[in-house]
This record gives sequence, structure tokens and C-alpha cells, in this order.
Amino acid sequence: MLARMTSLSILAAAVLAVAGTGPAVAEYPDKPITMVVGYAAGGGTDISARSLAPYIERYLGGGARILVENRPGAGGEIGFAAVSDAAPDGYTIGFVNTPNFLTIPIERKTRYKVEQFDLLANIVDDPGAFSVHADGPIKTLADLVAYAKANPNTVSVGTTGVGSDDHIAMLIFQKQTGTKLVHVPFPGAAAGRTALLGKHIMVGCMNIGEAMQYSQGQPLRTIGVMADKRWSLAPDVPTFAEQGLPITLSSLRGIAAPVGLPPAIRAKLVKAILDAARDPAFQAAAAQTFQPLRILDSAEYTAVLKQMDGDFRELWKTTPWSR
Amino acid sequence: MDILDNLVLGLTVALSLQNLALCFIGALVGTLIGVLPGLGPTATVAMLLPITFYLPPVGALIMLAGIFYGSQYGGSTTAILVNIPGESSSVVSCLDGHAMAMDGRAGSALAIAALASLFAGVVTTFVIAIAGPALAGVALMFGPAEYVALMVLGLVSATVLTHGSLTKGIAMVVLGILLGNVGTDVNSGQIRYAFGFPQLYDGIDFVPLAMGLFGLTEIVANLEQTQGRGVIASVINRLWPSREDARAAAPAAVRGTVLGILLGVLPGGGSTLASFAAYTLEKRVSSTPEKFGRGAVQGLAAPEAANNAAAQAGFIPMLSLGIPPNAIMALMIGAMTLHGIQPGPLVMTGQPELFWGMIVSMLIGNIILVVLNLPLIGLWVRLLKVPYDLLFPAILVFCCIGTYTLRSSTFDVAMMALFGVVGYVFRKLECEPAPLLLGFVLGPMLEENLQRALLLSQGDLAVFVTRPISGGLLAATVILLVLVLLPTVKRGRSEAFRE
Amino acid sequence: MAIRLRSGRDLTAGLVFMAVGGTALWMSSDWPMGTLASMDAGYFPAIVSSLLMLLGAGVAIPALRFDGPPVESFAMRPLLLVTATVVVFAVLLKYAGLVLTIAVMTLLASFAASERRRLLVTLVLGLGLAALCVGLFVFGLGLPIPIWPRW
Repeated sequence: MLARMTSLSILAAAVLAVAGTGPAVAEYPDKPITMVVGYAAGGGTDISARSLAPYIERYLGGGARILVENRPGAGGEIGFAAVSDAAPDGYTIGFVNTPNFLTIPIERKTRYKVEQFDLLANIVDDPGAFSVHADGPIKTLADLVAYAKANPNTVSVGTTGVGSDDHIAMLIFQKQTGTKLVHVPFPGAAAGRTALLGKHIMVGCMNIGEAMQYSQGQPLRTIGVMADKRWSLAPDVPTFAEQGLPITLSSLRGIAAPVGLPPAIRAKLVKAILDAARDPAFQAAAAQTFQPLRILDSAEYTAVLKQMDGDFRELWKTTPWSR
Repeated sequence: MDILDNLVLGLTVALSLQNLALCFIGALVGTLIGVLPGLGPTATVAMLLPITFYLPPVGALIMLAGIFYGSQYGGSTTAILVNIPGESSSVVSCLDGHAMAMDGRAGSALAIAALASLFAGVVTTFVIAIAGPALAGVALMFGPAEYVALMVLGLVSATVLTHGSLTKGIAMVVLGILLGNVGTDVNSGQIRYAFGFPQLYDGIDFVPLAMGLFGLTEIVANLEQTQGRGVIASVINRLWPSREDARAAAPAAVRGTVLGILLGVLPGGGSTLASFAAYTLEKRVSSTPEKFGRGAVQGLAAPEAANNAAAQAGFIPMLSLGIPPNAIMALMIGAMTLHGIQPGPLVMTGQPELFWGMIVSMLIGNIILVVLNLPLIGLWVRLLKVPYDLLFPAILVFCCIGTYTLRSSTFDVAMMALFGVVGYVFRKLECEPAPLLLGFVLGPMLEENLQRALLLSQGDLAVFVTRPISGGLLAATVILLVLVLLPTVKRGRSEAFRE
Repeated sequence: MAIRLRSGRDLTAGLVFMAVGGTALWMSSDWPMGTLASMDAGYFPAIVSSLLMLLGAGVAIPALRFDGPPVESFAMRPLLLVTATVVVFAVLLKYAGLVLTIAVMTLLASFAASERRRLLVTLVLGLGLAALCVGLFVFGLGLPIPIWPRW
């Protein structure tokens, strides 16, 4: 009798326990998920987010909805902080971009800490590149160096902000070539590209994917990519190394959530993201919008970022990129 | 005739049953959203983006565009009827539009706003068809120095809006710029003037500011003037514009359209600047400038034409250069990207059915809007006959909900209450809020471009004068200032003599 | 010689501008200025707030010399009640839900009108408005607004 009571109550407790956790996962997501992008609409990260979101929705199933929210400014800090400030309930995720995500906390006090983020998966690895207006005389990096040496402090370089990969690339370039350039930060690659098209700046330092997207039919010339080898979608663009400048720098774009997600929700979300990124339809869409993919799971992604963080801290000691 | 061929292609696309239906839905949803105070098209388009994924690209863009201009249209209705500007480009419509409504000419005001918008929309469509790509080049000619000059001109011209003292008008513009500084500095990440409120890190939103300064202040003033009984408008004498009104409005709408197209091509603040500039121009060319702010038809027709023309002209840089002039068009670029279309010069040649289909759909959309809205005028006007003590709680509730839903923030609602008090104090001090709002909208852009221009010139202030466009704009600013100051100086002297 | 107050309204307006400008200038001194060629966070606010102070002086000083109207009295009753109605929404919504909030708002707003209608009319108005808003915003537009109180 007593035993039966006990087993009944255990059963009841088990049912309650399942009922307690079960619906939370089964129902997730029962409202729209916000995906924060720290850059303006129309930029590279925005396009990654908007092209991937429908596939994540599909793999989450149950009519899940993801709203992409642009929170541009301060090199991405405003968007990152929006993610770190959010409740870890799986309803706020966001794109984090290296190196900004890692470099901004090195150079100044920020509203987020890298440890506040649970890195879910990496999607894109977009190497940096230099582009110029096609009407100009500059055709190679050597031309640019020669021009910059003859005219110090006149070559204006548009980047996506202080401490962005573009900015750091520019600083490494200056150091290696002994030139002095003028740094002009923009709130996003699209604004910088417009200034380049209007010849208000001389060099646009943006990622190769962004440069290729924008150069369709536009008078832009990309003169070098900061990768180990040429990109398959832009085989005509030589690497920096080929032109005698050993610079490799890229922007990783991955998805993170505030740390402390309920494990079941986290597992469901991570699986949906990875399945979405590996979906052939998404991969085709990514190629069409010039996104160089590099899919990493949470552990790999975290390890890569840890390594990069160390590298940037070393670099900061020799070449601080902020005043 | 290339253009004719293109327009015919556009017509066949836009007149397909599905696209016609999408255009209608867009215009309808847009009008509804625009009429409800505070519900912005940006939020709506963002909510609808995922749905558009399942539509063909042309249809999706036609619907999003419909929401965009539909909401602009609906926003004017609210501005005229209850003095609440839903977005920055309808601030000016409040001035004379609401004055007309108070004067018993609400029907006339709504009809004139509708017809001026329609006229501007039709003209702009043809201008885009004929000169779109050429106009796109104008956007590229504007570098940081040119933007600074343009904004200085815009801000100075805003002071012409005021009845009273010029100094007060400029001070309000400057105060607006200062309010625009609240939040995180885009360049350095420094948080400014947030007083420790994280809700202010992203800056003050336009909606609580505008609804507080205009809407709430208006309600308090109405209750005050009528000792709380609040009969809002005098007897409504007619629903349609009189012949004199129509005659006065027509040339104003033409001038407004021209200004709107020119300024609308420039990304950033184009339609706001256009509506303010159009108002300023009308007040300057008018033989009866003292009527402005007290129900001058020109003061409504010109900015309404201008903001509609500018909204549509904004599609030129978006489609041909991939430059989004505002947040809504940035979202539309997102929608195009989702469909694998990269906005740029190739859209026009590579996707002619998309480009021309969308252009022609704007024409159709504008006609749909007028057909949809003219019959509604009678209904809207009747709304003003509702006793004010029953109407104003409803307006208050709508304002609160609109502001709250912007970002699900009750903090924004509290901000609106604060700005309501501030607006009332300013009203008592005879400081007008419209210039403040323009300063608020343009201030951040002014700072960004000023920093950039001086970075490029290495701190040499001469760039603003030596570059032809920027020099020309600054010269225009000086001329305008002199024109405005001359009568003031004279008046000042005569007052001094009287003393 | 005592300064005679000539235009109370403009003097007050000028002083308000000067006070806001002064506070803003003082706050901006915390942030790095940078140089003209490379402006930092403090540069632009410093220029703008200084300009506001100057303009404030430009409004206030003539007010000492020329006659002008005084500050009109404030209609405290509608001002306070309208503001309070909005604040009620800000404070109550997340706990009380939309329906109850709107009912309280309409009740409070009814005091702003000098000739009050009967309580019944006000209540009917409030409930009608609440029904309309729930239908339009929550069901129609699908906005995430709580409808009922959360205890």
C-alpha cells in the first residue's frame, strides 16, 4: 500500500517533472526570436542574418519566427550590448563579428563582456580587402603604397569603425609599408561604399564578400584580399601576400546568445542553426550573396575566438589601434 | 521610345491581378498604420519582412512600398486632425493642416493633402522614369562637406517657420540638435547625456518626442482654452476645398514637388528636409506670410507634395545605387537581398520588370490611396464632432500604445509624458517645437558628416567654402539669413524708437 | 539702478536655454574633446551647448530692454491630469494589463474636463476603448501587449 503510494507519487513527480520541463522546450519558440545585428541594414552581417534567418525558422519548426533587428553604431558595440543585456531565454540571439567583438573590450570600457556571451555557431569567414574607384590610377597595392608615400596623410581609407577588422587591417598595412593614411570611420560598409563611389574617400577597406556584392556593375576595383589564397568567387583578386604584404585578417560572423540559456532550448537552437547553415539551399543563397562560409560548432568557434583574443591582446601591446 | 516601352513593361507587371492586390493591401495596411499615432511603418515593414519571403520579389517590394507611402499618407491625416505627427516628414503638415482643421476646414485640408500628394506622386513617377539614373548621380556628388552645408541650410531655414523671435527659433533648433546627441556616440562608443538610464543608450526616439511636444501639449492647450469643455473645431462649413483654396494650393504643390524630388534623391533626412524646405519656400514667396501657421493652404499643400515626392524619389538611389535613404528602404534592400537581388545599377538592366514594375506600381498605389481615402474624409471629419471630453482620452490611449509598441518600453511612454510637459512650457514661452524636431532629426547626421569632412580636410574649415556645391549651399544660407534678418532689424529699430 | 523686468516671457525662455546649455556644456567636459581634425565625443556637444547658451543670452538680454508680455499662467489642472494619465499607462501596463489600465486612464482623464459626465458614461467609454484597443492592436496587429493583470 505504502509502496504503491510511493511509486505513484514518484510517477506523479516524474510526470510533473516532464510536464515542467517538457512544454518549455516543446513550446520554444512560442514568440518571435529577435536576432540582433550590430550593423546597418544592407551591410554584410545584415545580409548574413537575413539570408540565414528563414532557414533557422524552418529547422526550429512550429512556425518559429525570427525578427532581424539592426542596432548599428560604435563598431557593433551597441548591438553586442543589446544581446548581452537580454534575458537568456532563447528569444534574443545576435550576430557577433570578430575582430570588433574582441577588440573593442581591449581598447576601451564596454557595455558588454566577452564572457557574457554563449557562442553558438560560426557561419561566415570574410577576409578583408582594399577597393578603390575604377576611374583612379591605382591598380595594385604597389601603386597604392607608392602614392601614399608620395602624398602622406592624404590617402583616406573608409572603414566600418574604430577597432573594426578594416581599421586594424589599415593599421597593419601602414606599419608594414611605412605609410601614413587618414582613417575615416563609417557606421557600416554600405555608407563607406557610397562615399567611395562618389570619390569622397580613396580606399574602401571592406571585406571581400561585401566588396564583391557591391562591385556588380559599379565602378569599383578590388586590389587585394587579406587571405591565404584567392577566393573561389573572386579569382581575379590577388592576395596581399602575392603582392609582397603578408597580411591575413578576416571577419568571423557567428551567432551568440546571452550566457545561461536553459540547456534544452540551447540544444534545440544550436541544432537548428547548424542545420540551417548546412542546408544546400542556404549555401547556394550564400554564394549568390557572396558570403564566404566557414561553419564551426560551438566548441570550435569558442576555441578559435579564444586564440584570436590572445593574438589581438599581443597586437595591442605593439600596435594600439585606438588613440 | 525606350521610356514608353519601359512604362508599358511596368504596367503589365503592376497590373497583374496579384500585384494589384498586393499594392492595394500595402496601401490599406499603410494607411491604417499611418493613422494610428506612433505606429511606424519601420516596425511594420520589419514585422512583414518574413512574410514577403514567400512572395515573388516584385510583389513583395510592391507591397512594402505600398505600406511605406500609405503610412506617410495616413500620417498626414493624424497630423491634420489631432496635431500628432507620426513621423518627422509630417511635422510641418501639423502647422497649417491642423490650423485649417481648427478653422472648420478639416475636409478641405484632407482633400488638399490627398490631391497634392497624388500630384507629386504622379509627377515623380514620370521623373524617375525619364531621369532616374541621371538623378542617382546627384546622390554621389554629395560628400560629407556637402551634407554639412545642406543641413546647415535646412536648419537655418527651419527658423523661418516661427512666427516670433528668430533667436528663439534658432535656439530651439540648437536645443533639438543637443537632444539628438543623447545616446551612444557612433564614432567613439561614448555614452552621452543618458543620466544613467540604459533606455537612453540608443538615444531618444522620435515618436515619444514628437507626440509629447505636439500631441500632449495640444490636448492640454485645448482643455485650457475651452475650460475643459473642449469644442475642438468651429462648425465644419464644407467638405471640399473652395475654388480659392484650390487655386492657391496648385502652384504650391508644384514647387513642393520639385523640391521634394531634388532633396529626396539625397540619402538621409531627404523627405523631412524636403517638407520643411517646401514650407519655408512657400512662406517666403507668399504675399501673405502672416497667414502661415493660421491655416494657409499653401503651407499644407507644398510640404505634403514635397514629402510624397521625396519619399518616392528615395527609390532612385535605392534601386540604382543600393543606397537606402531611410530605415524602411534599408529593409526593402534586405527583402531584395533575401531574393538574391543586389540593388545597384544592374537592377535596371538585369531586372527591368522589377524596376519598372515597382515604379508603375507607385503610380497605381497613389491612385488607390486617393480613391481609398477621399470617401473616408467625411468619416474623419465627423470624428472631430465627437465631444472633446470623450475624444481626448481615446487620443491619449492611442498615443500611449503607439509609443509603447515601438520597442515594448514603458520608459518611452514616460518620456512622452515628460516631453508633453516640456512642450506645454515652451508653448507658454512662445517657443515653437517644429524647429526643435528638425534639429533633432538632422543633428546626428550633422555631427557625423562634420567629423568626417574635417577628418578628410585635416581640420581645414575652408572645404565648406571651396567645394562648389557646399559653397553654393552655404551662400544660399547666408542670403536666406539676410532676407530673414532684414525685416527683423527694421522692426527692432522701430520698436527701439517707440521706446 | 534696479533692472526693471520688461518681458518676463522672453527672459524666462532665455534663462531656460542658458541653463540647459550650461548644464550640457558642463556634462560634456567629461568626455574627450579631440581636435578639429579629429573630433572626439565631447567636441560637438561642447559647440552645440555653448551656442545654446549664447542664443539664450540673445533671447534674455533684449527682454531686459524691451517691453513684452509676461509668462502666462499655467493651466495646472489639465496639465497635471493629462500627464498623470500617460504616466498611469507607463506604470500600470506591465502589471495590470491593457484593459484595466485603459479604464483607469479614462477615469483619471475625465477629471481634466471641468464639466464631468456621469461616472457611468466614463466607465462605458473606458471599457469601449479597451475593447477597441485589444481588438485592434492585440488581435488585429498582433502586438505583444498584456491584456489582463498579472498577479
